[in-house]
Amino acid sequence: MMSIPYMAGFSHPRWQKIKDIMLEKTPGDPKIHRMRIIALLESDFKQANWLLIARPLTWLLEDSDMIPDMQHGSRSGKLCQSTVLNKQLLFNITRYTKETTAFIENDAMGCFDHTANPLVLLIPRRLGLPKSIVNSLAQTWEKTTHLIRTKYGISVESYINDKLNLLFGPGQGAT
Amino acid sequence: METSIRKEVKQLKLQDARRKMFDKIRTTLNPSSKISSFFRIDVPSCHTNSPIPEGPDPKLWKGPWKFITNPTDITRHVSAANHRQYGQAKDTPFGSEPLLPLYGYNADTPEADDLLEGHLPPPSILDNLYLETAAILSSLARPSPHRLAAPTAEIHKINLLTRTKP
Repeated sequence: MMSIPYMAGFSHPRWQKIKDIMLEKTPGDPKIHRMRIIALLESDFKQANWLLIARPLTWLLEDSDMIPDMQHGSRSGKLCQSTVLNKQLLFNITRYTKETTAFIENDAMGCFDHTANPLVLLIPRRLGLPKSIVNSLAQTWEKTTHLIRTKYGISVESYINDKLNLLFGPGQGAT
Repeated sequence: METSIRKEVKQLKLQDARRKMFDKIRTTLNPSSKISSFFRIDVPSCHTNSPIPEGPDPKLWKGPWKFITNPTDITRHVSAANHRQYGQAKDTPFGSEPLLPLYGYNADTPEADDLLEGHLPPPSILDNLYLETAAILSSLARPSPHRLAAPTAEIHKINLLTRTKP
């Protein structure tokens, strides 16, 4: 039954309800702009996305060497902490050997929040993901209703996507 | 057929009830668990209680702060902040004109299909884009040398048992 939305290319209404929780970026400082949004999705939706989209695409990218070696996040057999360790070790070795080193660090700030839906949805289709699966995902994102979860419970009020103020991206914690 | 549907619906109801029970137990045992400990927020203290865009921008606010604990007010402020957070891509090339109306929010327009079949947008659009954006479009228009095999077998692996996660 769960496979029907993906085969037919529509979105299950239950998947369109996301609960947003807010975590303090700095513990003890709950300023509104210093909170990190985490989107809580239905577990079957997440598992289906992993099974049908994330896993086959990751295998394809790994098998065809399309991911650069320096990429550590979201890859099996690699830890993102390894990059931090490598950097620290590189600095230590440089200091001990008194060598000159140039180092550049680029941070893709707000990467998840700057994800534009059309581009994100076109890339997997180019890699061979069926249109029906992409359509199902796209419609879920488009029709999502966000509720806020606090200690008082789940809010009655919500916010949704509208044409004047579009919401983009899957949300942090959704991948 | 009807019996199997009835069985599945019954199974779904059971799973839902079990999930709610586990949620209740978890909240009762650990009422201040990290995931639900969010009960107050600090917002700019100014003449209006409205969030952005009517109220001040918290990122630029230099004045005093006040905390709010009223659930309705919290929802109002958090909704406004999140709406802005999720809307940051509206200024990116694919989140704005001319590419957004051309390919559609869901990338489901005929032009999107054309692009994947190798047809770039007309020069009147292409010439006004950043070089990087045009390069992305060219890349999308080229067939990928590595493509997925049809994942239809995977689709059938999704079963109903994945829903309950106590």
